[in-house]
Amino acid sequence: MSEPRLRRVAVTGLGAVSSVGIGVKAFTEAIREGRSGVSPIASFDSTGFRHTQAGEVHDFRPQDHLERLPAEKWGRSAQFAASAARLAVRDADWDPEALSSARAGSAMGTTNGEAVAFQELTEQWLAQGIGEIDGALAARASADRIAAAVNTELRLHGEAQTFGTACSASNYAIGYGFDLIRSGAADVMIAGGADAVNRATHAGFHRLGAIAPDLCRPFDEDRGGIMTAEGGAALVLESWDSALSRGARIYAEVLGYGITCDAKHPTQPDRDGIAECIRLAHQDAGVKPEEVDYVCAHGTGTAANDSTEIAAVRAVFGDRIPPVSSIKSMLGHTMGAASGFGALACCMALWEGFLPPTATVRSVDPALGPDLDCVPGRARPAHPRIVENHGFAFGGNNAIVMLGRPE
Amino acid sequence: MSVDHGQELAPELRTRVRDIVADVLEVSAEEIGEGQSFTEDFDADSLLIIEIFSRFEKQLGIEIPQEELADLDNLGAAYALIERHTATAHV
Amino acid sequence: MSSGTAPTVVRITGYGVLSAAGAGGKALYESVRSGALPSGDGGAEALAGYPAPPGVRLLPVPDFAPREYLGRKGLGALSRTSTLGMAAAELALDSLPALVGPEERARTGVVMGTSTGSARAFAEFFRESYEAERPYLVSPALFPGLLLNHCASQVAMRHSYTGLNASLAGGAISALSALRFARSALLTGRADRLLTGGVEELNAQTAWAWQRSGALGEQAALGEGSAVFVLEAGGGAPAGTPLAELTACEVAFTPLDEGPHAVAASLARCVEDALRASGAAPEDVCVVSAGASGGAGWSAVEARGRGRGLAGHTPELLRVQDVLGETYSAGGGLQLAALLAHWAGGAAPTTGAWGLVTSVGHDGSVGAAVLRRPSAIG
Repeated sequence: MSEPRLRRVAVTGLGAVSSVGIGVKAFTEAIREGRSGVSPIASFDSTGFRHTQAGEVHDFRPQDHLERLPAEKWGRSAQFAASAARLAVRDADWDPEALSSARAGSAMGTTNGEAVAFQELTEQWLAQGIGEIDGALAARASADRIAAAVNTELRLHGEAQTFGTACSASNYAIGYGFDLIRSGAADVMIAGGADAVNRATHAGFHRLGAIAPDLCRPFDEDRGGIMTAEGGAALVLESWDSALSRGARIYAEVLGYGITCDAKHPTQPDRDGIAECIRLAHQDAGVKPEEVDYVCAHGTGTAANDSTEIAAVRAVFGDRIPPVSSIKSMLGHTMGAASGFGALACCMALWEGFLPPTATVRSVDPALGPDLDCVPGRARPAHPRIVENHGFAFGGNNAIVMLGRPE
Repeated sequence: MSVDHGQELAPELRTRVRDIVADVLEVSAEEIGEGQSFTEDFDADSLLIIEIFSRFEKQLGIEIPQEELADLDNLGAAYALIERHTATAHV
Repeated sequence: MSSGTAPTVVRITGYGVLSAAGAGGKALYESVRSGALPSGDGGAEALAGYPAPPGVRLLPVPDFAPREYLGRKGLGALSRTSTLGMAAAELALDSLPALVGPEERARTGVVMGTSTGSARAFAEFFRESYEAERPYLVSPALFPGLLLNHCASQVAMRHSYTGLNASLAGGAISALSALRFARSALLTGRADRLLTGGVEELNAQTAWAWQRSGALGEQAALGEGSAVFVLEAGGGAPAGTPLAELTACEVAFTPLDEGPHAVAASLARCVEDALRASGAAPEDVCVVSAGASGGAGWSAVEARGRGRGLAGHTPELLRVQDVLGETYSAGGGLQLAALLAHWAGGAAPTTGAWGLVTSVGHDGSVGAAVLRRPSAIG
């Protein structure tokens, strides 16, 4: 087998179902303005929790966005995924019939899969006994339904891959889509992720002492942790030639990605594992550290993440660190969708020319070291050429995607 | 934290604390010396430390502020922690 | 890559498997051949005190004791999903001629197929939150075990494998999804060696979910198991004798509203594409390790798709699922293990060079893997 010619990969469509806005236009406006999507929890009874805020998508009506998927037969995560995918495909101006017959598939990431289905099944089990659970509900509890929903909604006939690599899963999905298109195995891939706010995830982070009392304040001296959150993010990835032949708008080019595993601790991040992931991503993209104009951080707002992440960035970038910000300051932690939203923000930053803010930071933690520009408050006009999108996860699953301004 | 705290703790409560720790560390209660480090001597990672702390709260019916978590690395410290918080609970 | 040139082939150099047939490929081969399973406890241990659903035959891994594979300590917070997957990984590593050296760990990773992680762990964590005095008084040590990536990350932690680590949810084709992803990652130089497979746990929550959904059909049998394969990227001659070459793995999804014929046609395309990519013709396939046999009609969908993909040829059929029951995320892995065991244990080396694994999910997902046997690799 001879060395195949590797194809370039374009991002031509973006779809967001988020607590700060539905559709990439509303999402981007909110991000630029630094608006918060955090509100009191409504999706489950939060009585008894000390922290009762989350980033929920209150005004989500799947039937407003979906054309084919019967929402009532699918879980909330699948609805988020399919809606974000539909919005992304419209944004990309793909003809639905042409897309359906293209060599197209989906890759979606998730942390908790259809957690809301598990939540309802558990409630049925506790109220009526294990033998009385709803079989139809049980049939939609499997996480693979998330990518399946995307293929069903868009009538795609390629593969439907759901990555279960927790909070970096969207970056895995984007990376996989990139590899398939680059090698010629597919022409179009819908990539992103979805997760839904639920009681178990909230309780787990609560128990770890990782939930912030009021707002998620990444990099702040008084940061108190994460906000659990939800949503769906989707990107239309396609071969450069396909994008050009359609006359499509190209938001960004996927330049490459890196994946490492810390293999050390089930919940704590590791500086060396993250630093190596950054190096692999740079190497894969053919990018030098000094060429990176912006880092869209994992930036969860926990003491451990932010200090480890910045230490890893310093280990690779040395004295000059690019601006590093966290959109979790607005969205909260959307889990498996998080790095998908990060990628959306990166694409819009490249396309419109700005740096997304860390909206809630008041006083940057001096322990994070000198000259940390985390773009406080609102977005800043800028012309980034190459940006880096971080995603880390429990289990040490690190994944970083590099994106560039289309040239 | 030194090991001579928690001297006022009732013997039956000390036994319960020791049993909880032993259960999480998957060793028998007798194997744990008061000054032995959970992390160094019993390979506990930070998640297991939180697990111990969480079981104290749940099984002993007390509440412990998150900030005190870092000190919890041996039985002596655990006794002191429980003593402090059972005391405040009764006041 | 150390060699500096792109790898061109992916070889299977070792594997480990646990199923209702017991541990190892030999036991699996004997059971698939004879149709007989060792007598187990009927699922009592896996049910953990919960009632069994009526009308479902439960086929657990008999006498599964995680400590026999993983040692005594640190198992308390691990679900059966994680220990089953980790145990299969230990068996796979034990089957290698040499240990994975410390300098190889950064290029060694883990890829697991699992659709829900441990449904029991997830449901019980929810339960704890509902029943505790305060809803957040859940066990922190159990929290990471809710995640789909817990098993793969535990295997990595156990062996300090810092290379590519992934978990994929693909329903019944999960293991084939994992094999496809791993093969792609090896050929693009993202790792040198990937422990790859699928895992499924039998428990009361899952058993009742299957029973209540009615998806098992007549003569319902629900199994469990795990299979992990050591996949290695290669350019030149293999160091040892590989068990097989994974020459292609295709997966696809067809929206169910297009009907079962469209799903069968989709499988046929996967088989055709996989054979073409492998440089094999339908008549070269001497053995098929089959998936769906349970649900109403799905067995027929798979048979039809396979038949079309093989242009009417009917090679020897290993009816893995008929014997082991519905094993969902582990299914494709157990089928591949049965195929390797069949080649190692029974089939005469002259009966043909190629094998096929096919899988169809009840949701419209399909997959096909093509394997070349060692005598043909040379």
